Amino acid sequence: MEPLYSDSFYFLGLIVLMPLLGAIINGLFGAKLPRNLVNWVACGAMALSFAFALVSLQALVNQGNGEEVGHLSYTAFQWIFSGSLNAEIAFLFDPLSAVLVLIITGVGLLIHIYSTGYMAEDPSKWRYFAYLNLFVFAMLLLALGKNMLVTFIGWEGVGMASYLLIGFWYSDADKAAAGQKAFIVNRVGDFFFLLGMFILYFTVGTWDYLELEALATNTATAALLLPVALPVGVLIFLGCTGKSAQIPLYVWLPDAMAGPTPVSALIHAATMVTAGVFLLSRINWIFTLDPNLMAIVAVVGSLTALMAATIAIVQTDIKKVLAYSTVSQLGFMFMAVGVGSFTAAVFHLMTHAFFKALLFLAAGSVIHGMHHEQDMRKMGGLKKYMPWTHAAFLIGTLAIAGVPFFAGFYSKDFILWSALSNVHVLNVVGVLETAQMEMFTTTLAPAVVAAEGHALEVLGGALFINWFVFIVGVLTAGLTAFYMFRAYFMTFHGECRADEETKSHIHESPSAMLVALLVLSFLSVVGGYIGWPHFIAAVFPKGLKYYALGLEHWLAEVFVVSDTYRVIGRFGEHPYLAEGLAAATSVIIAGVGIGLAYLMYVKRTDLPGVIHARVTKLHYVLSNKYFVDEGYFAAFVRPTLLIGKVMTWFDKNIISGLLVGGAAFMTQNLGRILRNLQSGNVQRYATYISLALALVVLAIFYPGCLA
Amino acid sequence: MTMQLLSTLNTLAMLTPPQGAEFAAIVPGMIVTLVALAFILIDVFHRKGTPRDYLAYFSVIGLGVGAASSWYLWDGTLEAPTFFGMLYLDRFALFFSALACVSGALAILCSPAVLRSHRMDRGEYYLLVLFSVVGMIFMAASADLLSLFIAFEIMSIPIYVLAGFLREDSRSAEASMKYFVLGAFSAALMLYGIALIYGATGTTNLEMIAQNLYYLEGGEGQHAGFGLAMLGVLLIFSGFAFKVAAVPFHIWTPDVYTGSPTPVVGFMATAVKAIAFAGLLRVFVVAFPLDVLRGGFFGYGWIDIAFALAAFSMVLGNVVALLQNNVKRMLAYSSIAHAGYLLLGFTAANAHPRFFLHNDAILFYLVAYTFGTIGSFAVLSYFSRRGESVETFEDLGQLGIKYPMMGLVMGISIFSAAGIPPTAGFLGKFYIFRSAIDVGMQTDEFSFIGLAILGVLSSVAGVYYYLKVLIYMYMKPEKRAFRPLEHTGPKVAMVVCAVMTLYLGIFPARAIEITQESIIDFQGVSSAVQATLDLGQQALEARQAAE
Repeated sequence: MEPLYSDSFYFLGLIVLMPLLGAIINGLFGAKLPRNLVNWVACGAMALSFAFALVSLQALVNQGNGEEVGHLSYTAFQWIFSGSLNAEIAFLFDPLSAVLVLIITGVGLLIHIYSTGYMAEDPSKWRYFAYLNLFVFAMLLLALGKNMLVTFIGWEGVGMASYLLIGFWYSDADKAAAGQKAFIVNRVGDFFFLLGMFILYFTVGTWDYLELEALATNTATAALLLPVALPVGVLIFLGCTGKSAQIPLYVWLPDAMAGPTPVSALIHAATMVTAGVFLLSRINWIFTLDPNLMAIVAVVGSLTALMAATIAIVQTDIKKVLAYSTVSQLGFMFMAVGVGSFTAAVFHLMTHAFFKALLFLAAGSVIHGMHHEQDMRKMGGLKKYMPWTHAAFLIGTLAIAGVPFFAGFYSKDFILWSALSNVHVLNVVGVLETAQMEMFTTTLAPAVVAAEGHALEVLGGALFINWFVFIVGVLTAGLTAFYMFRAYFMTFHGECRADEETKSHIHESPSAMLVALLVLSFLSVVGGYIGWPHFIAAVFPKGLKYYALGLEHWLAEVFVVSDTYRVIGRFGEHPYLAEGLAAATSVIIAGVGIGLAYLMYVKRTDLPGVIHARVTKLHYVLSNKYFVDEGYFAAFVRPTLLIGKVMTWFDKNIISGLLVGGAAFMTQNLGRILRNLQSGNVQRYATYISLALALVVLAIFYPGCLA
Repeated sequence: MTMQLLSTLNTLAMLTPPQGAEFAAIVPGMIVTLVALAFILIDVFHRKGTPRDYLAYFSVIGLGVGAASSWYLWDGTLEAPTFFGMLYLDRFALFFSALACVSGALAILCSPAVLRSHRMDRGEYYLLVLFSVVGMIFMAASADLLSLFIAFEIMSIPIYVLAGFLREDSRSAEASMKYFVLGAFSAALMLYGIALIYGATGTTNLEMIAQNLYYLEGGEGQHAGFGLAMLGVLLIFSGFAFKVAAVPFHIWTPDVYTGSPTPVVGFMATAVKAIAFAGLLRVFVVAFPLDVLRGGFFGYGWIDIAFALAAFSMVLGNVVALLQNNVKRMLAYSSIAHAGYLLLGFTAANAHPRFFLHNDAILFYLVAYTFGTIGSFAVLSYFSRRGESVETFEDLGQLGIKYPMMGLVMGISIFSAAGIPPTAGFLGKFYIFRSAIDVGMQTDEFSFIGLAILGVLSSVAGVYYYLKVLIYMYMKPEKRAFRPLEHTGPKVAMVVCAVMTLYLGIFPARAIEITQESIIDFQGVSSAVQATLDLGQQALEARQAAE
């Protein structure tokens, strides 16, 4: 449908502009502004941005025709236009970016408010808020970009802001190093992303998402994209593994916890790390072209989820637990992308933004109250000191553990169910014989394959991946429930293990921080109510049924081609029984995890020690995070340093010694001619000019080309 | 033959007295001339012993009016040359007159404190800048080799004097003398070239030279005539190459840049180079069509020379700049390298009439280069107190931390010169390299692409010495404390340059449109080029209609 405000919906520009203005004001003048004004500028910018996002949402809904809402767009300006290359700074606001933009500005606003309490005493608060606004600006560019170039600018921008904020307390060498690690690992990913972008541009000549979508979803032109879908997809996915902390580039995220805790909540839990999931959803029509590509994403996602969850079990730093849990949850999202359920990925992105931000902020409140103590072994029994924080953390934990009626349950269940049921059309038995392959990758009618709701026969290999992802997902869900409740019990229950000095100072956090916790707690409960499982939604009254599946309807038009033509449910049209069983499995496993945690950390606190003694080796491996950091150090860092040393030698001896020094040596001592060339003698200069002219004349006349 | 010539001339206006409308062609030049004359009158009444700052601001405002007049004339350009075929009034000329005015104004802003510090606070300085700008304005508009040469000299002679303005400083005097002697030498060569062209074609009017060269083709005495003309072409080329400081005609540059007063160097490095490129484009595109004047290694005639000069300038400029200790000398070599990039654009865009529109890359590069370069010279001017001027890299130590604003401006200028986004310099280089690659792809000549690759590689080498400036400004210890020349002028110039450099890098659309309009309105070209221009005109109108 034709957009109502064609290409001139300038509110999109305002959404992006506000945080930029905030960053400029605080960055340039913040040091001289009154301390309160700094808060107001930063939070005001976010509030305005959020307001403009709501206005845009309203406009988007208004222009809808009941079936679809289309999109709003705004071209701020043309950056480069020369010949075929046309680089516009343009924004696109469609159902998908709407979700992300609202999360960024909404959760961002809450975290800004929280930060006014958390960073109240920091001497360079203005710098903190300038960076934080800068981050939001870059993140909004990323989310709103109408073409890949704008997304990439945002992509680099968030990386830089993240680096600045992780190393915010840069006088601590460890924290500065963590910032550098994050930046360098991200740069590796960005390099692959860039390569993927170049191949894509070289093949189709555009970076515009709308044009790309038209190309990728049209039978005639999709054939052009088909051969490059795998390389482009893998390269872009590698870029996403950097930004979204997946195997093999996840190693930076746990270290990134060196930054202030609100930063961890905003950047390293709610927004930036989900950029990869968002990007893959944005270009879902490229990923669903090739089932192999999707299998890669699904397997990497599930392995990451499982591995991070196992590491999280043995962590003792409360923020590290949350960090590994973030990696694990991001793995869930990639799992969803890999099985072609982009709606589930975005759904989990959203609920995760709520409950993980809540958990981080609650943890921040604990850390704030305990005077920057992060070790859970020195906590315990905080329930009575910090009742509000305790309640917030409990809600967050229930949500992430997948307990029904809390947000995390709905999205996680959706992912697990999709993993079990979704199958790429090309993996259905008999498809390749019935029609041309191009048809299936583009506009195949689903009814042909779905055969009126009967279960489908699927190729063996594909089915194996389905089961693999599902089982790993369920296992991870159980582990998640276990390690999160372990953290909860260790922090808030039992005896307080802090020393007396600290104990006497434990206090509940200021109201600015509690407000954010309150709102996020609310969202962590009701956030999931827009995506009930189908078998439950079916029993809802008619009026509510639409809203019970609200997110799915809202995003349907973005994923329409992938959802209906390329990825289909193999259990037929109304697989309520299978769905219910999947949901029951995940609830039961979550219950087991919670029960085990209760048993080990409340009832029989000696058990962890006993188990530890039994499996020392396993614990050793886990607590050292599978030695991945060490492996990377040996495999990449040390060789790089070695190459650096060789290069330094090369630079010193060959470049500056032989070449530069040689040139200087020649000019100074050997070459009479060279020395005299710049002698300062005017007559000589005139001679050179004459000689040069003679040379030029000779060059033209010598070949005798004239006439 | 005379009859034949007259009947085919499209410049009938040459034989009729100037119409009223033709006087518009001299408006920008006259404005600056009148400002200069008024300046003399005001200077007479100057009270001794008081600073001449107000005279500097007066000149700046005058130059601003001169630049603004280009804007007023923008939509009233003429197709035929005016004043008996002496001057064009087209957007190309207006573009360069505005650029010359802006560059002159920025250079003047940097000057008062420097002059006072050297006890040379005299009115003549500003007067010389103004007259030089007059010469520049007329040179960009010239339609005849005679008017071109006169304008060329009006531009050059004041610069020779300006280079030696700090006459108590022996280095300044030396620079002036060298520049003068070599400049006169190269001007003489150029004049000799003009005489040879006149001998071969019987005219000095640019369009008629082209016509007569076509008449020569295939006729009797073609060989001798072309030989004569080609020699003339090369001599004229050498004159321009001298002014733009292209290797191997660059030899004066380092010495003169090092010795001359810093604001003058900024003026020299930007305005003179830009205007020399304007003259080069005008003369070579209009008067010396490539399809009759062939020769050279690749068979592209004088394009081959430009090609070789571009390659030498980029490589030599960047490599020798690596070895410099003196910042001004480093900037001198860097300006040689920039001349190389510009020549690369010139080579690509003029290799064939159908690529003519690519010349907008040169214009954009010149704008970007002007602001970037004057920005860095403004910072250097700020630190050129007599006996305490910042000269070597070591002198820069800690300046960025002690003077954050100067550090910021220097950083922006340096990033622009190195071609790092989001500064104007990045886009300038991007467009230049892109046009070369475009031409290479379309002609299937790898040489153009090879030259672009050479350009990219040499600019990578350039990053080393550019960043050295920042490294010294922020990370190296302070060797010696320098007292800055506290004055508003250079600060204004710095802010203008920094803001423009960022503005052009982030919002280049309007500037690119202006450069395209300037190229599309280029007058006096052959029918083949005109066809390209018409296509460009249509494309531009289509895009403007779309917006």
